[in-house]
Amino acid sequence: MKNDAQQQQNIQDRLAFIELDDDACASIRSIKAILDRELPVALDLFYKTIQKTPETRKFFNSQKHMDSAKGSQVDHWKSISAGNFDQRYVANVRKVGQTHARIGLEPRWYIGGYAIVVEHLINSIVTEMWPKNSMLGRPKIGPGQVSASLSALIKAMMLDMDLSISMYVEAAEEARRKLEREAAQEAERVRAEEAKREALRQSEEEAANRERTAVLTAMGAAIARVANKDLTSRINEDLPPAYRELQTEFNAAIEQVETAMQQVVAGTGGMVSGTQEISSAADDLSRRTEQQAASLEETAASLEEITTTVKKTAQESAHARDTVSSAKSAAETSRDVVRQAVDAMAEIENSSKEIAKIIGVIDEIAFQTNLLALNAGVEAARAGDAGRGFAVVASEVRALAQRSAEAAKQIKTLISRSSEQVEHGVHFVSDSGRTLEQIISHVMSINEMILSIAHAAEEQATGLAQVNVAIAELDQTTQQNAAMVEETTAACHTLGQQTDELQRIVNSFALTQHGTSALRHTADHMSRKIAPKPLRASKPAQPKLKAASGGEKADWEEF
Amino acid sequence: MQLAERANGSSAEVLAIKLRDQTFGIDVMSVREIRGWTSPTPLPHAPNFVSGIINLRGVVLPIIDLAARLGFPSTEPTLRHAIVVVEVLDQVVGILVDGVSDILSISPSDTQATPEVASASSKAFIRAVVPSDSSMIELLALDAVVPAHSS
Repeated sequence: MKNDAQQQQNIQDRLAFIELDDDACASIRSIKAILDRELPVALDLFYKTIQKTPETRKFFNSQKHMDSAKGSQVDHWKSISAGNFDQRYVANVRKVGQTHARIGLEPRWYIGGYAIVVEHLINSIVTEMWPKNSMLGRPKIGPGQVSASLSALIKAMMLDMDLSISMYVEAAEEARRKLEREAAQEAERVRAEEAKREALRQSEEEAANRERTAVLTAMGAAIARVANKDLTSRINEDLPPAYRELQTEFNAAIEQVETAMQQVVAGTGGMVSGTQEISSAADDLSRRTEQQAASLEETAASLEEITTTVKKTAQESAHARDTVSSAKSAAETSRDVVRQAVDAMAEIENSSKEIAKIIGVIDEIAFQTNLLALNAGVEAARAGDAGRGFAVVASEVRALAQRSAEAAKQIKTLISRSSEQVEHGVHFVSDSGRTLEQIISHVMSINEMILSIAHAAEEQATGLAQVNVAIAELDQTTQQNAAMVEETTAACHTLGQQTDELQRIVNSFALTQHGTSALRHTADHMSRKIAPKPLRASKPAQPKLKAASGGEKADWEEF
Repeated sequence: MQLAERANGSSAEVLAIKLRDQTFGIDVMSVREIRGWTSPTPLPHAPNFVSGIINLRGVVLPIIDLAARLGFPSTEPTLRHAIVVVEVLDQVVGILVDGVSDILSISPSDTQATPEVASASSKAFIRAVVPSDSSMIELLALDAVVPAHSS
């Protein structure tokens, strides 16, 4: 109310200052009809301009909005045209100014708007009121009245503008002040919070210090146990919530390590058995390699014998070849001999023929002698008693001739038989010659065969030489294998020792019973398994291993 | 033996000849000569038993093939055949025989007459037959063998 009164006083002051008194108000009222009629036209012009201008157009989101604004203005102007600058008018102006401040409409657009409206209104008023021809008989309006109306209207408009802009400035000022107030309040609030937080922080720090000490104590104890190879160590104290995570992480980490160590124990057991198997396998391999070497040696010896046999065969083949060559040359010589025999036979035949001829001559002579003797006998017979002695001689001669003829006949028979025999002989010798030719051809075949045999034997010898080389290489490889197997065995034994050492170390860690019982069983099993079949090189290590497993057992019984 | 028989004065000397595995006898007194085969010169229009003629020391001697003459197939003569030169009734001819074997003394008591069953020709040519051991000697009638002179 007080505010209203103040404002009312304020408006009265302004009205007094610009001398907008009752007369002026009456002047405005005198042109009320014109104003009420022309104002909507002026406002239409104004809003057209607004719509043409991009900066102003954005204040109105629709034609309806614009019409509503226009309606408000027409109402407002009705107050002005009525010269009624009362409480309601002031409230309206205030509202307009506040609205402008709210939407950010700068005064220049407002003043510009007034310029357009005023231009139209003044034009209208002057056109309306300017003294015209008095012949119409209308009451005369003097220039003073027009001037009074225009000045009153302009004063009213100025007042309106002043009020509106004042409102705008006031609203802006109010807004600024409000902002400053709020900023001051915010700063105060922040300061208070800062102080509170500082206090809280100090108390928290003290609590944290206490907590830290407790946590460090608990953790130190747990870590000390871990350092003593106790992997069952956990932080079981009820630590402050901030350290719960650390506690969980630590416990989880140690548990992980424990699990890992349990796995290492199990793995070590596996390694022990694996190493043993490898060692046993290496021993087997060594033995087999030795057997292989022995077999190889036997093979080499057998091969040597075979080689000797084959060489002998080759030599025998060569001898046979020589023998066959001799046989061949002998057969060829025999062929010549046969030819000579055939020739000799032919000569014998010729001689027989000659003899036969001679025999014929002898036979002839005997015949003639016989005839002569017969003639002599005839003569003697004819001579009677005187020829008796001669007859005896003739008879003797005839007997001789007959014996001679007989002999010749026998010889002839013999000769002809001899000739037949010679012919047979020639035939046989020819057969022999043919047979010899066959023998020679057979001997040639045999020679070829023996050559093939000799060749084959040589190839066999070559092949065997290669096999010998291969066997030698095989032998060398086997020797290398044997050496490598030796090295492997030694390495296995070393590995066994190292595995034992590893097991001893691993067993010195304290682990949870539940996880290790199976492993312990495995380890016992393995240690038993190792005992009856110790590795050759690790014999001295054996008691150590047993002692370790014994100690380990004692440790476990504590759990 | 022959000499002894001849000494009796009653025996006769016979020349034994071979013809076709038979032995014939010719009286030695008729025999002039025995000689080897000489190829004869054939005579035209001669009888089939006349082989031809030969020159015997300048004398033309006709040759009679005894086999043909006795009615056997003709002889195919060789160097071992013989010609017995005989003189019958002042006619000298050569008789071709297979061979001459011996001179025998035949006593008349040994001779037998040619059997009657034989033909007249046979009896004309064979004077008598002398059985000797397992064989037989037929004594030739030379005057029948040698054809008579045309004169």
